[in-house]
Amino acid sequence: MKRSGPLVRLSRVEEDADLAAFCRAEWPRLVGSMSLYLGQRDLAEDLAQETLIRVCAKWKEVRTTSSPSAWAHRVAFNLAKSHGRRESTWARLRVRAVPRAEDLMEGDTADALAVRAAVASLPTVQRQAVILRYFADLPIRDVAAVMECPENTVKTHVRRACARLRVSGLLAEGPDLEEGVG
Amino acid sequence: MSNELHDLLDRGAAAPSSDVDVDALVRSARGRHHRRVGVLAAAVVALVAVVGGAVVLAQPSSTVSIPTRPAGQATTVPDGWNEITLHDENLSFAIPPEWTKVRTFGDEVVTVGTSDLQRYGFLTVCGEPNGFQLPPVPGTWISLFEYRDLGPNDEVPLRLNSGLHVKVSNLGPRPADLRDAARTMSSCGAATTPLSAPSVSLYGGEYHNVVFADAGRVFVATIVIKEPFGTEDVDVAYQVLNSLRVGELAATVPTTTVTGPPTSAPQPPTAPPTAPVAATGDEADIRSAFLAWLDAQDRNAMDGIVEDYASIAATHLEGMHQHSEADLAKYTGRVDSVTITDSSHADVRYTVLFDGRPQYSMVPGQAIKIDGKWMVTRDTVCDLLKNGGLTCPPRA
Repeated sequence: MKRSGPLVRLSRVEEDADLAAFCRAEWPRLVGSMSLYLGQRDLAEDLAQETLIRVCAKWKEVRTTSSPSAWAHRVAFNLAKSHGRRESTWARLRVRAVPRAEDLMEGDTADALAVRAAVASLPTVQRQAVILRYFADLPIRDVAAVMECPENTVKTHVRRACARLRVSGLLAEGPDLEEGVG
Repeated sequence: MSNELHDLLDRGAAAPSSDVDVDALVRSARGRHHRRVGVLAAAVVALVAVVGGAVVLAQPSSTVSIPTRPAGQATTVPDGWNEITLHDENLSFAIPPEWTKVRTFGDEVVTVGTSDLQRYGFLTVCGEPNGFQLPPVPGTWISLFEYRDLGPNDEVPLRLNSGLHVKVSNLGPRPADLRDAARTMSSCGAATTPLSAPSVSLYGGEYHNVVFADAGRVFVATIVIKEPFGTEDVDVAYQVLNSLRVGELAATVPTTTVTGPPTSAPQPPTAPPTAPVAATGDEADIRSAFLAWLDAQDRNAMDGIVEDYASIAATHLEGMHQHSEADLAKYTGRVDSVTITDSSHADVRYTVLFDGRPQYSMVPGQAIKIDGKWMVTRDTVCDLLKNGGLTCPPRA
C-alpha cells in the first residue's frame, strides 16, 4: 500500500535520523579505510565524502541491504580504484614504501608511518581484504561481497597479508587468524 | 592475533580532520538529483519568455459566479498535524508537526513553512529581485494571498511569474486537489557542488502559483520549495494547501462574490442554446476536437476543428510562427473536463503541456456544435493567442 500523509513524514524523519547516525558512524571508518588503502588522508576524506553523498542519494535502498556498511565500503573502494585508474602516477604511489612529504598526515607518528608503509606494500587485493576485515570489521561474508570473490579467497588474502606483515616485524609471530584457512 | 592486527591498522589509519557534515552531504545528494530538473526548467523558462510570458486565460466575462464552499468541507486533517486557525480571516488549515507559522511580508495573509524566516521580501527561489527574498535554508513555504476588491473582469495578481493571467470571472469551483486549480509553476537551475566545498549550496528550487476561489473569496497560494528532494516535498505542500478551510466573510466585508445564476458566454447566432443534454459520444467528439487543436502540428487541419477558422487563420499562423518547429513539436494538450451545457455548447477545461509537463492547467474554453460537428470555439483559440500579444480580427 502506498504510504501517504503523516506516515510519509514520519517515515522520512526516521530515515533521516538513521541516515545521520549511519553517516556519523561510517565517516571515520571510511576515512580510515581509504587512508590505509591509499596512504593519503585528503584523498581518503574526499572519497569517503563522495561515498556518503551516494549513500544519502540512495539511502532508501541502502538501508534495506543486509549490510549498509559493506555497501558503503564497496562504493568507497570502487571510487578508489577508479581514481587510481585516472591517476597515471597512482600505481607508483601505491608501491612506494616511504611516503612523500605531501602524504604525511598531521599528527603522524613514526609508528603510523611504518604501519601505512607496510600496508601499502601489500598487493592490492590483500590490502583491501585486510582493511575490510580488520579495520572496517566487516565479517568475511561481507568482505567477500565487497570484493566479489569467494569467502575462502578472502581468507587466503588475509592469511597472506598477515604473513607479509609479520615479515615487516609489525605483527608478532603467532597462530594463523581464525579466518586464515583455505 | 586478530586484536593485534586490528590495533595495528588502527595505528596506521588516519582520523578525519573534521566531523562529517551530514546536512551538506544530503544537500549535495539532493542537488545532483535535481540538476536534470534544473536544466529542463531552464529550457521551459526560456520558452515561456519567448512566448511572451503569458498564456492568457481571458474569456468573455459577462458574468461571475464564484461558488461558495462551507468551512469544514476541505480535506481531512492528517493525524499529528497542527491546525492553524485565523479567526479574523475565517481561515484554517493544517501543517505537519515539523512546519511552523512564518512571519508574513507585505499583503500575505499567512505564511507557513518548514522554518521561520526574517522577512524582507516575498519568497522566491529564482534569484532575488528587488522586493523578493530567497530563503537562506532549504525547505518549503506557502504564502497565501487574498484579493477582496477585484471585479469580475480583473485579473488575479500574482507576485511571482507574470505568465499566468486569470480573470476572476474564469475561476471555477475549488477543486478537491488544488493541483487541479489554475496554476503555473517553474523552477530554477542548479549547479554541481564542488566536492571540496560541500557546504556551498548552489541549487535552486521550484515555485507554484495556485489561483482559486473558495467561499466566494479569491486566493493565490505561492508555494516555494528550495532544494526540493524528490516529489515528496511537493506532495506535502499540496497536502497542506488542500487542508485549507475557508469560511465566508462577514457581509460587511467587500468580496468579489457576485450573486446570480451563472450564464454562458455570449453565443453566436448560428447555434441557439437549447435544453441541456449529455451524451457520451458528444463528449468524446469534444475531447477529440480539443486534442486535435492542441496537438495539431498540421496547420492546414484546423478548418474542421476550429469554428470559423478561416477568419483567424492568419492570426493563428502568426502565433505559431513565434515558436521554433522543435518547440512546437513539444506542445501537447490535455482535456481535463467537459460539461455539455446544451445540445450545441459545452464548457471545457484543458491543460497546455510542454514536453509532457503541465504549464497552464485547467484553462477554460468552449466547444460548439456546428452542422453536427463539435468544434473548438473561435473565442477559445483567440483567447490563447492573446499570450503572444495577438488579437483576432472581429467577427464578420
